[in-house]
Amino acid sequence: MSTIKPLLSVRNLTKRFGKGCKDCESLTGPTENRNQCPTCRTILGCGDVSFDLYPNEILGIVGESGSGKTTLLRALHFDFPVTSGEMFFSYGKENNEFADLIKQIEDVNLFSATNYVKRQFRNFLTGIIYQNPLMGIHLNISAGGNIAEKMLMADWRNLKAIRERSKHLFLKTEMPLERIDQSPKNFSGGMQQRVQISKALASNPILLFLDEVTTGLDLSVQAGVLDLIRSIQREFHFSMIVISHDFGVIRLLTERCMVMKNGKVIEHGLTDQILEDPVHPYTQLLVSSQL
Amino acid sequence: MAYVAVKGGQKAIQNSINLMEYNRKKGSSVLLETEQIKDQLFFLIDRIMCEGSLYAPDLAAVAIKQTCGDILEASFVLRAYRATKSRVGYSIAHKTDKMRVIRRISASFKEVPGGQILGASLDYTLRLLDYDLVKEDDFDREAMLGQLFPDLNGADYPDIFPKIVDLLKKEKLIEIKPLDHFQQEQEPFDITRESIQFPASRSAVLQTMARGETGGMLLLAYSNMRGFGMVHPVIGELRVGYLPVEIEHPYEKSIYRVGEIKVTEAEIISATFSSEPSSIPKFSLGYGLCFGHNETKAISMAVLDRAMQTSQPKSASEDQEFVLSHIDGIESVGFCNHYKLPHYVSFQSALDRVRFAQDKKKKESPE
Amino acid sequence: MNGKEWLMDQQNNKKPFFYNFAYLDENTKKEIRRKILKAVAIPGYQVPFASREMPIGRGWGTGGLQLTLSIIGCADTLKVIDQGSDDSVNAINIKKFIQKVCDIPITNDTKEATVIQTRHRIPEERLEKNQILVFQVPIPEILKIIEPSDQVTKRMHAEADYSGIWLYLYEDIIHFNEISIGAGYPVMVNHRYIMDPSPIPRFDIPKMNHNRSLLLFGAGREKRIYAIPPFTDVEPIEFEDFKFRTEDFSGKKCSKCNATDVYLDEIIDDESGARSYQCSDTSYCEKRCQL
Repeated sequence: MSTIKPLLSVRNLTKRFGKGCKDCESLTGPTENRNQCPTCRTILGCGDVSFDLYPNEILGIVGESGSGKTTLLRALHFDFPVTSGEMFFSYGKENNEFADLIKQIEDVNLFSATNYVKRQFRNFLTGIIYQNPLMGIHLNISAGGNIAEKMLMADWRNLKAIRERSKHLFLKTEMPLERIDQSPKNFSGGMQQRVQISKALASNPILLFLDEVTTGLDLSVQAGVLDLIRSIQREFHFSMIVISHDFGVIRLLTERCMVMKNGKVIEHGLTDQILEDPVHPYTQLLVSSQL
Repeated sequence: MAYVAVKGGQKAIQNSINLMEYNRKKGSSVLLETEQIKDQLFFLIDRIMCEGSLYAPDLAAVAIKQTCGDILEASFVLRAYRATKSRVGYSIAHKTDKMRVIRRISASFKEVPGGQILGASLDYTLRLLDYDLVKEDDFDREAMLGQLFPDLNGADYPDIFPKIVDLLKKEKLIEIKPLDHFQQEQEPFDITRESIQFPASRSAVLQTMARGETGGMLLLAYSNMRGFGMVHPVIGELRVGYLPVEIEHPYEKSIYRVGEIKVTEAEIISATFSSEPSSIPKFSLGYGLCFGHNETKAISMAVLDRAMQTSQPKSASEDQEFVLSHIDGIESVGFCNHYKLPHYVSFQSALDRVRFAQDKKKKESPE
Repeated sequence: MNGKEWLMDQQNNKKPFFYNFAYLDENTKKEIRRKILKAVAIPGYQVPFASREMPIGRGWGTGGLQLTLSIIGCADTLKVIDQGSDDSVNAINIKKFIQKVCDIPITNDTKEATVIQTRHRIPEERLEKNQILVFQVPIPEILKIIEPSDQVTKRMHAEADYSGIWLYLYEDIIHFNEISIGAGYPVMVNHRYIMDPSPIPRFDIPKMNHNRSLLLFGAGREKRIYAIPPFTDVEPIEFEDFKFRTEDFSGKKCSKCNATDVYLDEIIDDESGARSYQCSDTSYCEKRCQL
């Protein structure tokens, strides 16, 4: 009987901002209740995080600000180099269009790969949706151009195909087609977010990162965006890592989740179980104060 | 008539050169002697040496005469000459506190140890056009030189002036950046032997500015002073004087004095609180040094030096790559003027694009 | 005469002031040759070099000149052209200078030359393996179309992050149904680096692919050398369904030699605006006229 290999394997991921010293480990974290080392003022972004993510799985990472969830996401997206840790990617599905690249990075610790390899990984295999849509889209090019950019990054070279897919995603994210050649400058926040979502999905990624995607949107718009993401995921079966401080979002989207505090993972398990019966006192506090 | 389509380009060029020479010689005035340029147009000589990056007053005078006073062309000629000379050695690096000072002022304090020495400067002259200069004669000249400074007693003048900035550093009022703030350098970077990459090391930054074009650097420094930046400079000390050039004998290791060069040095204090928010507030410094007597350049250089040390550049004067890529006069003047060269082949290609695009539009919506 | 003989001759003639053979000192030549070798080893990659000031203006060919002076020897024959013509002001001045600092034969005949220095054109006659073509390059960085900072473009080349320039083409096509880049069209070299071929017309780009001669590119002011070794893949970047198009001279021919398959210069005949055309490659035109 064969076991499914995880899509993503992360081991002991640590990111510190600052020089670091021998006291950092013992003087920071959830038991110390602080992120900053009093000796050397180095800040613990996230410490010693390990997890597996499987194909077609949605993992949530929940915590308040300063918990380290965003640092974790940025580290996985190679936005900055990590202090230590390993990350492995594996995808065995037959006939997938990225077979060559995936074979190249099999058993490679991606954190220690060259920037060239990291960029290939990001361009071809992943997509990201930020809390602030302006971080993920350019205002000086058209909405369609923004979506096209992701495909161009993944080496799509057929204009008709690019244009068709842009239109298809526009419709799928319930945006009016006549605005596809306009700049997102004058779009509402919700529409800008939809452009970002279309862009993230444009090149058929296997792994999607979502960073507080509904925070800041009107409640009614939030519901729409969440439903959209859920239905698209069900259709295309990509894996997702969802960051949120909102247990409502986590409950709606994820099957498993990890709770973080002061940079460390303090609890993890099935989302339903954690919500129903949180073990760690901090998790209990979070759950009770929100739901 | 295009100056390519006809054969005889060679002849046309030669005629152009001859005409330049004719223009220089055709007047009825006495031909300039390079000695005259050296003696009487010394600010010009200093500027050419500074931007040509070669300390050679005689050669600068020739360059000025040859280019009929075009500052950028003269600097260019000197710089091109410099490029042909092989490197025979390096002078010993010195601090500038032992400068033989001929002008020294500070704006930070009313009185300073050693005193404010005004020296020779145009600063205090009235900018009224002196028409008497049209006809000067040697008799007046002799008379004037004879009258000057009859009661001078050299003994009062100090040999060495302490650096004002050093005094402030002792009081810990000025932030001294640790060496690893600037990339650690065992030896100075040589921008004429290695192509500069960004972010650049401290010596590369200062070298590039030392030979930078005065107008360009003034422009950028001025923009910072007017608010596109945060330096808020106060002149800690401005000096004009002579620095010794000394070399080490290759075998005996004894020190030989080769000569001295005139330089202008500016140390400006940026009077805004600097350094990390949590540590003790201090002022910071900017440094400028260039060949010859050129105060505008030295001050601009010092302001830009400080501006480029900003950790989050927001304006052009703070952006190291922007400043250093655009202040070399020889490069900028060359590129600006290269647009006079024929560009008709690439223009033809551009015409093709716009005509084709217009044709397509017409076909789509015929009127 | 060779380098040594040259120096002896100069000293014997008691010139007060003389230059090394080909003007540049041997150390400079050594550095430039090393950088050329590096450039040849990495086709299309811009190698920084300590460009020297020359007696002609920056922007007037100092890069090409330094390359030529570093590689020519007494067995070489030199041709210099600007806009395809041997008689252009720029070409004449450069030839004048080179002859002053080393006495090698100069020719107008493309077939006779071993080293050809060119500004903005590739000669019409095919080049062979014993020839070197030296290009004068004003701006070596093709990505300046989308990004002014060298620090950023350097990273883009390192990571093969070229989506920006593909997006530029895409937006042109969407808005104007035509690409706006005329001369100096971006090419992909050896399937790795996108490169500026110098402001040559698109007409000349196909000549670069699998060229039998060595192509060297020198940007003196910007201090970069790059190269395309013989038989390298050089392709203009294009979409599958919007192909690269060279300049259209259909229905036009040279008024002197009647050639129709060459790059033509448009001449305005008189005040009425009447146009005629002539070969840009003047020596090729003369050859044809003599037949």
